Amino acid sequence: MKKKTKRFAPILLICAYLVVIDIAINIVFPYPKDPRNISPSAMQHFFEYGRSIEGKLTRMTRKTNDESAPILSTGWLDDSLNERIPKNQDSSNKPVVTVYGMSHAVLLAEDMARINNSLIIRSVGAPGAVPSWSYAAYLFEKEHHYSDVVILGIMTRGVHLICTTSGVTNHFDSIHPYTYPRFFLSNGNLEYVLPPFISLGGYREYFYNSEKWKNYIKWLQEYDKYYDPLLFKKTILDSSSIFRMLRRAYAYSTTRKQESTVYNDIKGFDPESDEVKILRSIIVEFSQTASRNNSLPIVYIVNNVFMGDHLFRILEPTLLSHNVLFLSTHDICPPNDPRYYDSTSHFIRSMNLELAKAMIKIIKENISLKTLKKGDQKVG
Amino acid sequence: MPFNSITFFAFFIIVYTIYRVLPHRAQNIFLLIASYIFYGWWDVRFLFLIVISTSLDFTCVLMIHEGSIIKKQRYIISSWIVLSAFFFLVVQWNRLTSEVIKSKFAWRQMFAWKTGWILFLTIVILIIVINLIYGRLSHLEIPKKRKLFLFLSLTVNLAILGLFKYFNFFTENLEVIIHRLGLNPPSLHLNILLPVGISFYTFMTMSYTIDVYRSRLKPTKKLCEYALYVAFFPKLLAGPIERAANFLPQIIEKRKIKTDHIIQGIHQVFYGLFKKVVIADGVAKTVSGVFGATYQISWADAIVGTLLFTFQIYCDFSGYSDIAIGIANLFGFDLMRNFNYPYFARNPSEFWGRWHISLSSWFRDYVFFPLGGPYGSTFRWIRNVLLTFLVTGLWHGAAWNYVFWGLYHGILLCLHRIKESLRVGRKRLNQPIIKIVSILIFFILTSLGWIMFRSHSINQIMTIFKVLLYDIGNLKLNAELPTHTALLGFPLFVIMEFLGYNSHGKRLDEVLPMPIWTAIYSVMIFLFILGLANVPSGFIYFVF
Repeated sequence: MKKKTKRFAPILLICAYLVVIDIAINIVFPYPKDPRNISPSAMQHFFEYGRSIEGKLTRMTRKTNDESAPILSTGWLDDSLNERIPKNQDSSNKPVVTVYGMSHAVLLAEDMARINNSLIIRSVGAPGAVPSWSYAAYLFEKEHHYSDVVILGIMTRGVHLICTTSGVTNHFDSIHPYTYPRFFLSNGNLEYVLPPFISLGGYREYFYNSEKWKNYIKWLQEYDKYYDPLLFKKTILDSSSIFRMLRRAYAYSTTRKQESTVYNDIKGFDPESDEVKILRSIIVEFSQTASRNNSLPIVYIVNNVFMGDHLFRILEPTLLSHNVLFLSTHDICPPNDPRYYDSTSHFIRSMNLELAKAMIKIIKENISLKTLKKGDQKVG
Repeated sequence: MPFNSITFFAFFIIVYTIYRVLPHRAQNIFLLIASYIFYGWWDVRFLFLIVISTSLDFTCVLMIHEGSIIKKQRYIISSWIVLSAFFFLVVQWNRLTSEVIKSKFAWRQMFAWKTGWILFLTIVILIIVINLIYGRLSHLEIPKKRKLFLFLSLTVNLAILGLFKYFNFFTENLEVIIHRLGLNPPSLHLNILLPVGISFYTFMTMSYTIDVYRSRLKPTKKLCEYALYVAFFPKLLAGPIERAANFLPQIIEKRKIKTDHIIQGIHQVFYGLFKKVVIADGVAKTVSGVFGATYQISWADAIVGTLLFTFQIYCDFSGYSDIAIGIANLFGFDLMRNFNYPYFARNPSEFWGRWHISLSSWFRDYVFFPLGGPYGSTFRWIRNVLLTFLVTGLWHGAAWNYVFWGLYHGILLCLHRIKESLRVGRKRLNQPIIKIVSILIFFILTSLGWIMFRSHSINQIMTIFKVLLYDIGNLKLNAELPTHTALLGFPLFVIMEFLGYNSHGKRLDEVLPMPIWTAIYSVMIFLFILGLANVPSGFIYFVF
């Protein structure tokens, strides 16, 4: 009996130490309980990443916006889109340019506005927005707001996430609860299904009602390619830092697996994948819809750092065959040169300005004479 | 099926559970099947190369040692080759999908590879011819027969290795020379994959034949035992390059798995996984960023990239070896030690006694000594050392950077021997401060060597050395930093290496009190869990 105990003593001791480490991490690096605290330390973030999606949502959601995490209100495709300033063309009658997309697109818009005051530059963005979000934002907004030029921002990292429906399933480490439609091809036509809610109010309604929340999960299960119950459901294991890290490793591994079905570092995108086909369709539909709406469509292609010009290469035939205007960042910022990118993987300021200049040049060269006159002859 | 994957974990659990309940003979057969499944998971077709290498050497060795092969054995070998050719070349296992299983007619797709049938028929004809001329061969004079079969074994093994690994390298260089002469030859480039582990198992089979020829080893008469020696899965893909004298008796004799085997095995597997997952995978992105840069790297990039690769390659390769040795321990086998804290080496001679020991000892025994070894004139041993290291470099890959890396180490070794023969500073060598300085100096020299090893071209080697020399002080780091896990794990890795070096490789539980070693293991487990989020990169030595 004693011999047996002696044999298991090290195992028990290791388990005890692991429990101590687990508790110690929770004490030393506690994640701030107040959802409004937006600056936890890097280590606090690091040990929080693996919390379940429901756990993270519980942490950031309160009954009112003032009490909730600021990130909660971003990216919703609801009426808040129409409240953006300027709501419509101002009295100067300058041409309006709207940029839809992720943070890269928003930063581009900011620099375009900074270097050119003959255009009204608006941006409609969401953190980590995937192409489906950007296109849906354009579709939803166009009914209420006319733009002379519409720019659709897409990035390499977003393509494999086209078949997701929410910021909670597409970026496990730091989630955003906003939702967007699930696009799919039906007999070659681009169609979409709307999620049960697309507004912050709708989200709260579902989140605080267990029956509705269950229905939402069922919907996710059916339509969201990245939904995974092991990552989504809140359990007691959320309290353990070790289990959180295990969940994070699992999340990384499943995401990599999913991504590899669409993209490969060496070969680039698989042209036969659903995601690439949907993206091509989105670009064609975006271009045709905008043209029908008398807007000038432009696609802003962000080739992410260390991902080569694969995104440009997979889209080039579609863009050329449909005469879609585009600006691909690889011409100005070689994607394999990290000196052009900052620590958050965005373009460094000077390069972003170059991209903004290039985009304005494209607009100047292609905007119609009618719009030019409207722009007080200042463009150009 | 890499060791650091869930698939391998499941494979291991199944294989180990079945293995433990089987009797000895069945264990060997089962391990052989498991090893073939393990290898076939990567590419079934290349299993045939292993079968050919195994059968050829088994036959040649019997002819060298016994002078003849009994009819039953001949039939077993012949049918083994024919069946393997059918199952590994004709049957297209990669087409076996659920749709094929459901549809009766789709089965035909699995046998539709024309080249596979041609190869199969060629092999059948070849086997028939060999069996027909066997009578003549067996009646040859013994010395002639021994030489003939040694020649046959070495030639076929080297030809297979040469075709798959070096053919394109030599033809490309030949084309460059011919181009310079103003001629325009057609390209001879072959689009062939390099079979994983080919350099490792080919060297094992060759050492077996040479040892039997030199009468240093009694061969086995059982094909299954020899096939398991070649294909035993833990060491199949990247060594250690085990010698038959050490490994075959362990296959033949009944194995007893002792508690110590299990403890040693778990320790080795775990420390190997820690090195691979936490350190090697954690720094991989930074290293790739520096050596794959398409921009002008800074001095800081070059220094960080070089130092991190120095640790990456050690943690990656020694990690693999540790896992292989540990898994073998769990099955009751003792594989040879492959790494012995090489970065504590004070000179090149000591380094090669500590780094990839199974390969360096192979080259010492089968290349360096047959060339004349350290004996004879200074010119002769310098020639022998340089030739041995040239081949060592080439073994690592068919590219000039490996050749330069090999020669660099050869030159270091020659310089060291010249210094030794002059007896410079010998008396002070054991002073602690001299020891530390020697370790540091040789560590820097080793790291510089890794630049040649990791670079893609001679131009890149030159560029990095230029940056190191002329861009001193440019501390702007463009490359991505290693992961949090690697940064957190590095101090523990250094502690583990120090403890291991000072205790001459003893396990932690043998040198530290239980509360301390269990605490170290707990932190290691914790870091390992953190490291699981790192992007897993393939083992570097799989491509050699």
